[in-house]
Amino acid sequence: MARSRRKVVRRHPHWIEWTTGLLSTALVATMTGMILYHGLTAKDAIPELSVTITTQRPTVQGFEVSFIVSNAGKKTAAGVPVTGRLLDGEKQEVETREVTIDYVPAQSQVEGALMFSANPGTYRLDIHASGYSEP
Amino acid sequence: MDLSARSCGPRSFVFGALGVTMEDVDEARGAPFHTTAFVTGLGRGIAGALLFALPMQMTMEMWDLGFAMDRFRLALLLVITVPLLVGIAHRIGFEKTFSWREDIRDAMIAYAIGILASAMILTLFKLLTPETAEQDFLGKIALQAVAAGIGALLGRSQLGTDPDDAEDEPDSGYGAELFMMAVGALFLNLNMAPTEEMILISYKMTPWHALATIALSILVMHAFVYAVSFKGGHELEDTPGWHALIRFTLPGYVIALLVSLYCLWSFGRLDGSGSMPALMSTIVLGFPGAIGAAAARLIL
Repeated sequence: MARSRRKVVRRHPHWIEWTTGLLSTALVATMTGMILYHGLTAKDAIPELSVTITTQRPTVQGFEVSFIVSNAGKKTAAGVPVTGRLLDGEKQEVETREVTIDYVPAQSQVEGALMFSANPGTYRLDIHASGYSEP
Repeated sequence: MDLSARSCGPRSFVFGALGVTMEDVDEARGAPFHTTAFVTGLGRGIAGALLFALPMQMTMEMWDLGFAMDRFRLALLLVITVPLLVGIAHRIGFEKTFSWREDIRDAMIAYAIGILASAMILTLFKLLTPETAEQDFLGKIALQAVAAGIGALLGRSQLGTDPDDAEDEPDSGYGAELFMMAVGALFLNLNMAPTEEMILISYKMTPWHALATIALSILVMHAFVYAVSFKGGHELEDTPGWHALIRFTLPGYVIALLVSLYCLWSFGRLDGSGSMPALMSTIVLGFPGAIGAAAARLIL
């Protein structure tokens, strides 16, 4: 078959092609603008991590404490160890548990849980993120 | 070449045979059922399923997603795959004169080949055993079947050598062009979206890297189709290049980004994520998507 397989872009297309094209252009431009703005405002950004406890519930082998790690900063934190300690009165540690969260992206939240064998309800529970690394 | 001879080509799974029972006057009236040709068609489908889906079948994240993926999102992906396969079958399977009924039939055969090929390969790798939990079992096969099904359809058409290819149709519609870009983007994205590297790259990148990625994605997309004179490339003639950029390349890039966003969401990569990290990972995954979209315009 001698017919060429090449397609030719017509000079005067249906209006729908231009509408789609212009909408897409606007969308790409908006996206670029957002990133540009983010780039200008998020200079020297650092992760700002905080841990909040959501629920405590008894399990078959002890107690589970669910938490949310939030990163309010504009930089992603990687390998975030979340340490939970049960304290008996004056800094007397009863139990320590730790879990590592792979990534806490910038301005995002990640859920996790720690398992204790003692009841966290009867002690003071201290839970915090103990560090992070660059992704 | 007349229509009946054409429909007997090795590209379709079921040749003349169903045409008789379906009383479809247009197709292959009375043509005998060629068992060997049918088997060849199935063989090509399986070959395509293997060629296109093996990278995913050998990816650890895909196995995990089999049970970890949200069931609603998995079901949605499976449902979306059906019109997608029908569309591909319509575009590259048969000539335009053939009915949607046949496209649907072909798409479902391809889907079935995808499911069987996935089950076979996953069993071979001992990822599916009789002890595997039911949800895990179903999820693993279903997830792989999407890419394998697309692969089966593409294998059937692209690995075959039928001179009467639909590519000879010089003026495919605008919608068809955008649809093929979506298919190309989805294909590459399905390969890459499950891996952790996609989000990791986006975390490593600064906003300036992301901007460069956007620029490069658009440039590569445009160059692929209009500049480097690949086989199947498009000609501009007297149309200015920026016309093609706005009418085809930028909508194609937006489609690639939307497909990328959909894949990341499907695989739960955006859960709990803020808008900026989500946008950045969409752009990262949109880069291979853009290349896939551009390639689909040339190949399909």
